[in-house]
Amino acid sequence: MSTGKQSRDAEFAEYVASRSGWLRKVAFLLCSDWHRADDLVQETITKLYTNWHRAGQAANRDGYARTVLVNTFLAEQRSPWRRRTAAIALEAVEGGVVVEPDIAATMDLQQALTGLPPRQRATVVLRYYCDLTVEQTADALGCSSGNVKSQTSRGLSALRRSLGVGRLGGVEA
Amino acid sequence: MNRESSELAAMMDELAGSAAPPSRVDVGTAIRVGRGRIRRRRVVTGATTLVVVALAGLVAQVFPAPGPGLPAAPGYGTGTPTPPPSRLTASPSGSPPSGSSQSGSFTPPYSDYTPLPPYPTPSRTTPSGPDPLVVPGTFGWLPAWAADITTTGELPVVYVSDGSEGADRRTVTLQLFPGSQTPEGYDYPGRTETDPVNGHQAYLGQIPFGSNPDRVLMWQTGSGRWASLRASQLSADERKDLPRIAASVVFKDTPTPLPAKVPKVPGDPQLASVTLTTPVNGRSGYWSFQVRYGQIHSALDLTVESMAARSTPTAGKTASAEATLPGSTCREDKGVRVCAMSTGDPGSDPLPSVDALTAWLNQVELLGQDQSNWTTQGFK
Repeated sequence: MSTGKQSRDAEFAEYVASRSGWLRKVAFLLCSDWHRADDLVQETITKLYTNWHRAGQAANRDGYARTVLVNTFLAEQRSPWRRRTAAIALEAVEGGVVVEPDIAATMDLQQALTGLPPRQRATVVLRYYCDLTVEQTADALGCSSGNVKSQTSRGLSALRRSLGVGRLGGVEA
Repeated sequence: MNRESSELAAMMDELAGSAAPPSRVDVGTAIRVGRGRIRRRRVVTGATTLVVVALAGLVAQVFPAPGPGLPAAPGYGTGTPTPPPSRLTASPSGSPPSGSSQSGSFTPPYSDYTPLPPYPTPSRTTPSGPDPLVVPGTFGWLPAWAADITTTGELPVVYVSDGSEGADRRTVTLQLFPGSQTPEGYDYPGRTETDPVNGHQAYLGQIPFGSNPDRVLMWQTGSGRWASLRASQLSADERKDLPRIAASVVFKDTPTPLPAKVPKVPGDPQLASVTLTTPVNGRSGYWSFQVRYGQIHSALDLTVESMAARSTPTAGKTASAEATLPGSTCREDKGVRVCAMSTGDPGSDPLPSVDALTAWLNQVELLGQDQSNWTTQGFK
C-alpha cells in the first residue's frame, strides 16, 4: 500500500475514532434504534471514506459528516419499503413497559421523536441537540430558513402534545 | 438558548447517552467497503468517458462544428458546462466534539446510496431488584469462535462476540420481541423461508449493508413470541450455524449471577444501566461488570473487572495495566479491580461527595474470579 493511502487511512481512522460516538448519538436520536443507528453511522463513515478528499476540502469536516448522516437517514426514510414499516417501528417503541419517572421522561421523548415525520425530527435534532442555528440547519437540510422555522414549529408542537402540557412550553422555533 | 431549549437539549442528551449497546461501527469495514466503491466508481467513470468520447467523435462526424463566423449549434459548443445546483451545502455549524468554526460548502455523495432496512426496536426497561440483570434467554450451544457474552439490564438483548476489537469482529445478537409485536412486517430483502426451529416457523433475511451484509434469522418460539439472531461479519460457513444456535436457546427470564454485592448509593440515585461481559465456551480470563446511576450529566459509574489478560487478538492489556481514569477511585481485591467515577459534580444531587464515594466503594463486596461464587442478590 502506498504511503499516501496509509496516511489517508490513518487520518480517516483517527477521525472516526474521535467522532463515531458523537455521530452514533445523533443517529440514534434520528432513528430511535441503536442497531439502525450503527447502520447509519457505518454507511455514513463509508461515504466519508469514499469522499475523504472532499471532506478534507470542506472547511467544516464535522458539518460534512453530520450532513451526510442526516441525508443518509432521510434517504432511507424515503424508500417505499421503509415507509411501509415505519408504523411498526413506532409500535415497537410504544410497546415499552412501565418504567420509573426519570427513565420514563427519556422514553417519552424517544417515543415523541419517533412520532415526528423524519424531516421534522431531523430539524429538531439539528436545532436542539446539535445546537445549529436556523440558517445552519437550512444549509444542512438543503432547504430555506423559512422551511426550517415551520418544520421546527410543527415539530415542537407535536413534542409538546406528546410530552404533555407544560413541557417545552417556552421553546422557541 | 433559553431554559426550555436547554431542557430539550438535556433530554436529548440523556436519551442519546442512555443504555447504548456495544457499538458495531467498524472503521476497518468502512475502509474496505469504501475502497471497493472507489474502484467501482473509477471503472464506471472510465467506461463513461470512453462512451462519451466515442459519441462525441460520432457527433462531430455527423454534425461538423461551426466554422468561423457561424453561430454554435445548440446542444454543444465550446462553453464551459454549468454544474447543476448543489442539493445541499454545509457551512460552519453545530457543536461536534471539537467545535469547528470554519466555513465552506460541498455536495455529498448520493450515487452509491443503498436504502437501509429498519431493525425491530427492543423495548427498554429500568433495571431494578436484587438482580437487575435478567436475560430473556440462555444459549445451550455456541460456535467455537464465540468468546464472550454481553448482557444489559435494560434491553432484552444478548450479544455474543468473538472477543476481538478489530475490523472484523464477529457478533451474534439475540433479541426476544414482546408479545404484542409480530415481526411479519419486517420483510427483509432476500427473505427466504428456512427449516423450522424446534418445529416452529422461521425465515432468513439480510440487512443489505456493506460487503458482508448482516444476516437475520427470525423464528417463533414455543411461547408464540418471535426471536431473532442477527449475525454480523460471519462467514458463509459460520452462518450455517445460526439455526443450531437458535435451536439451543432456552427462553426464560434468568437472573444473571453478578461478581459483586453493591450497597445502596448515598443519595439513592436512579439505577440507569447494568452491563456484564463474561467469557464463554470454557474460556477464562477477562470479564467486566458496569453499573451506572443517575443521568448523563450527573452519573456515577461503577466498574468491576477481572485483572486477567484479555484473551483476544488485541490482548496483552490487563485491567490493572489500563490507565486509571482521572477522577476515579479504585481498589483491588481477589484479582478483581473495582472503580467508581462521577461524571458530574461530586456532592451535587444525586451524587455522593468524594468522601462518601470512597466509603461506599469500600463497601462494595467483590466475589472474586470464580463465577460459581457470584450472586443473584447483588443489589439491595
